[in-house]
Amino acid sequence: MTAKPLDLVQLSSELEAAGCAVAALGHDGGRVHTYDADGVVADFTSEQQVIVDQVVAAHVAMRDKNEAEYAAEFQDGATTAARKQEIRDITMGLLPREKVPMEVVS
Amino acid sequence: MARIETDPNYTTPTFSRATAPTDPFKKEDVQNLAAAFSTHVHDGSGKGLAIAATGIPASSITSAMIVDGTIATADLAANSVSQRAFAQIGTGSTTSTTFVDIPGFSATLSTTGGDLLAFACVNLAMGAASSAFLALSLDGVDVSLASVQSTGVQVVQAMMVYRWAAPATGTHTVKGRWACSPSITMQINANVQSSLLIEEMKK
Repeated sequence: MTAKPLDLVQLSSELEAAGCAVAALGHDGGRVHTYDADGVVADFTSEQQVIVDQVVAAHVAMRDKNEAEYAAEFQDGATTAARKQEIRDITMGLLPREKVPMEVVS
Repeated sequence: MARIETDPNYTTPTFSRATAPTDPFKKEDVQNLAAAFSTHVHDGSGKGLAIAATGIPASSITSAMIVDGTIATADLAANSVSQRAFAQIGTGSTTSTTFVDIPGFSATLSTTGGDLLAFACVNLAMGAASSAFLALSLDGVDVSLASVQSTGVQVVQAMMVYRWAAPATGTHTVKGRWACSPSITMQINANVQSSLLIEEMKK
């Protein structure tokens, strides 16, 4: 069981990097799982589960910084002119958004 | 044997009668018997025996013999007209780009020849501009029924309705299935319930 926020796409990449590539991941609210060939929810093999547990324990789900966070930073008096320009480029879609850890939703 | 003065199956009126050839015969026997038979009925009210179920020939009762609007729900055998099963979820996510089970979004019925109807409402939280594809499956056979697109971080809703014509008698499982665009995580919207209702309709 895990209650920490998960980004399954990010987790999938992390699992692949750890040598546990799977076609797809799912989460049923209580556990991370994969699927069998018919798309039915399936457990990992025992060997895979060891890797999955390690990767999930180390996983920090990331999300894009949102408009409110960029606005707060832009309006901060300590933000440099260069950083403000960077924020403009990001919010205009000219640069990719930065990632920050997802918050735990209680 | 002696005469009986009150026939056990007729009380109002009743009649007396001999029970053996040697019993005395009274002149009023015939008159009383005729009076009793004149009001003979089969409702068990003391004017004759009530009709047993075996006394009504099979397949002889018709709709015309039944007063409109008098068949009560309690008269119907359980599941004789319809039956249903229901599932409701508020969590789940996937990265699969091919149809996979929506976790917990399934319902099972043992049907006996009626049509099987399915109604599903799926509430999704999309984390990026992407597409969600939804299907219902009956015993592992998918029917693709809906797709929704989000233009960004959005909550979207998909409705699915389907009818399977008279599946073979037996146990059947309907599942909700989903797939998403590559490289995104699609989630069930945790703020509202997603629901699946299946119903066998026989008439």
